[in-house]
Amino acid sequence: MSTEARAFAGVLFALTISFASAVSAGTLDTVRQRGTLACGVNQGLFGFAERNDKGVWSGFDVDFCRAVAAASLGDPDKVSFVPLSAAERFDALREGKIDLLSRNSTWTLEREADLSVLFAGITYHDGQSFMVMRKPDVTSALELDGSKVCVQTGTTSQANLADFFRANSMKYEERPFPTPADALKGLADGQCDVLTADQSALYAMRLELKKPSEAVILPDVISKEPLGPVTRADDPAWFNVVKWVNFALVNAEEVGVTSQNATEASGSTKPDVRRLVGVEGGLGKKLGLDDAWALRAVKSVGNYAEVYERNVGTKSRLGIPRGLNQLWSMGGILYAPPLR
Amino acid sequence: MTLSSKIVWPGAAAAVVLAATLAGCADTRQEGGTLMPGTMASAPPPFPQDKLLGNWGIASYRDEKDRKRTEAQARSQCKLPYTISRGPTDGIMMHVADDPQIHELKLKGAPGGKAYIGFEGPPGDPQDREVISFTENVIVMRFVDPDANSRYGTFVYVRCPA
Amino acid sequence: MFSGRNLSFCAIGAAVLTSVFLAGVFVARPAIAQPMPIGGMGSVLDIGDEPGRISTEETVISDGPFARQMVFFRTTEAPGTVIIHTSERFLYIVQPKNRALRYGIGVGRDGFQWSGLVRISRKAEWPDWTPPAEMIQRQPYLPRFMAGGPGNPMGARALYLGETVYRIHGTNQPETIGSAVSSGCFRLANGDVIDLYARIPLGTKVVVRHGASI
Repeated sequence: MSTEARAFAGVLFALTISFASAVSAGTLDTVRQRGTLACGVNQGLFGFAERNDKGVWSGFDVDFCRAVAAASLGDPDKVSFVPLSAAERFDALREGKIDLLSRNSTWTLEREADLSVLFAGITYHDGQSFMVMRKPDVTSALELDGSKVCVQTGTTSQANLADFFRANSMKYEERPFPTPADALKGLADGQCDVLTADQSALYAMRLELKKPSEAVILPDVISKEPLGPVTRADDPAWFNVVKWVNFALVNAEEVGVTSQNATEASGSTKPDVRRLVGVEGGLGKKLGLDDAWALRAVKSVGNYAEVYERNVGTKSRLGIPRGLNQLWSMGGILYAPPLR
Repeated sequence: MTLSSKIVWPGAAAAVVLAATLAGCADTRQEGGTLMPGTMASAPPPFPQDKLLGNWGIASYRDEKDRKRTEAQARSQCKLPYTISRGPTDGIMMHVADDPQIHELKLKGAPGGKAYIGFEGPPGDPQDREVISFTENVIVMRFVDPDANSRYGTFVYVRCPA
Repeated sequence: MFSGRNLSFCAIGAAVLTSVFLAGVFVARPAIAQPMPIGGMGSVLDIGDEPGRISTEETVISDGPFARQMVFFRTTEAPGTVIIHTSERFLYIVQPKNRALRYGIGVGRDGFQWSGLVRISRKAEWPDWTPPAEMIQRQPYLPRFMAGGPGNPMGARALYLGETVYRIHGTNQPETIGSAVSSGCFRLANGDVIDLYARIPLGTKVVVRHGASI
């Protein structure tokens, strides 16, 4: 079935069947009827979701929205970005204001069980870490015994901090601050030796320092903060589309397909490359898409490495090392099931 | 036959050049006047130009301590020799720095027994090589241009066995 | 100037090109720079060897993503092993407990020609440089041998990889770190290659990995 025919079928479907609520219609069909993907993003988070003065969005989470739009609508620009606060994000999804939430949200049991939403995988493995000034030349979190630690009050970071030091039989003095900015100032002023927060946040905070190169973010991660896209729990077909777009970007990196070579990849003789770009296997149809879905996603935003490096890695001011977010075969833990 | 290895920095003649320029003295051929930047008056070459002809192994160094082994390396480079042949108009065919084109150059003498290799014109031109020492089988020279000299170092030419 | 500078100084001269493997590398490869399988991560800088550009021992990459730093790195390789990821432009020294000391590198054309496992077979301070024959052909005014020193494109240190012509070396062009460049193997800023040199003994295992190619 062509895209047009499918959209038409979606219209018929919507007209002839009554629904308890709009959100229980197939999200894919809804998106196609509307012609745009409504994607919930952060209101402004460096590297993840930013809007420039011309109103153009960019960032790691933003690119994921574009990839899903490219796969499902054929156009990465057919996205209406919906900036959401942390408090309103899951309601916005449940109420159908957005089709997809791509807003640095941590995957936890409670969220899936209580909120009728499903995390469609992990796009970014974040976790709590430590930033120290370079002078003491500390290279491991296990060398922090006896430190004064700046932390934002009322956060899970505060609890994780206590757990980590206790588990490793180390002592510390807590210096609590009401906001991240105050905590950072505490480190810069020397009120503490160490600042703790999520690693991605620490890299952003480091840029606020007068001399960022004087601060070191330790490689140790002491908590799990797996961030991923979220869909409503009642639409497994759409959930699958979102989930496999993520897997496709990771698999693209693994097999060497990039935004630059995506077109010529169609001529590859390697079966896993051919399945990814859709010249073999007919996989797109099984998702309710066409077979070039993954090819378009990669062409639009690049493979996982390209998305990462452009927004938060070596090509961004953040410069966050891949770390956990490196392929499983290259030193990290990214592992995508096969496209077959 | 060995030349002195006195170093002449391009800057050394700067005062002279400035004075000459102010005086409106522009005739570079004028006997006794050092008139192009860095150049000097001509003198008969201290050795015959033909002594440069033939195949040479070439290597370079920067630090005097490396000179001996560089000479040995130059000797072993005769498998990839640098050939200097006679040019059509009495010159010799060689390259200048950073130019893959071969040119007809001249051996040019300068006061004090100095020698330069370069295009026809006053010796000491930035495109010249300065000959630092010369014997039948080993020549040491460097580019006059300070930038080229710092990049390529001092060259040792060792004559390859016939 | 430098019209013919797209050539490598990875090779240490015609004399060593005796094995079939090495000869194959040089015979099969055209003398002109060609597109490299770099996984689309940025374009190739047309930067060749510029003998004599000066970079001191103190030059390190001190800021930004290519600065030397400890990172999370999960591997089954033993601590002390060197792992080079060419498509990422990083060199790692494996540390205990899922960590590695990471250096930003520039990867030259020759660095993409080969991947595999070797050991450090030789170490040299301010290594000499023997430009390969095809480079002499394009730049006939070059010396056939250049004694080591601050202007030498090999930089402050070299670590030779097994019996191959490949090596980890310094550079007199530190601004090329993090790039694909048209010549050389694996280049670090001089201060960083000096740091690496002090940490890596002879016999260290080196794993070179590329990203996959289609």
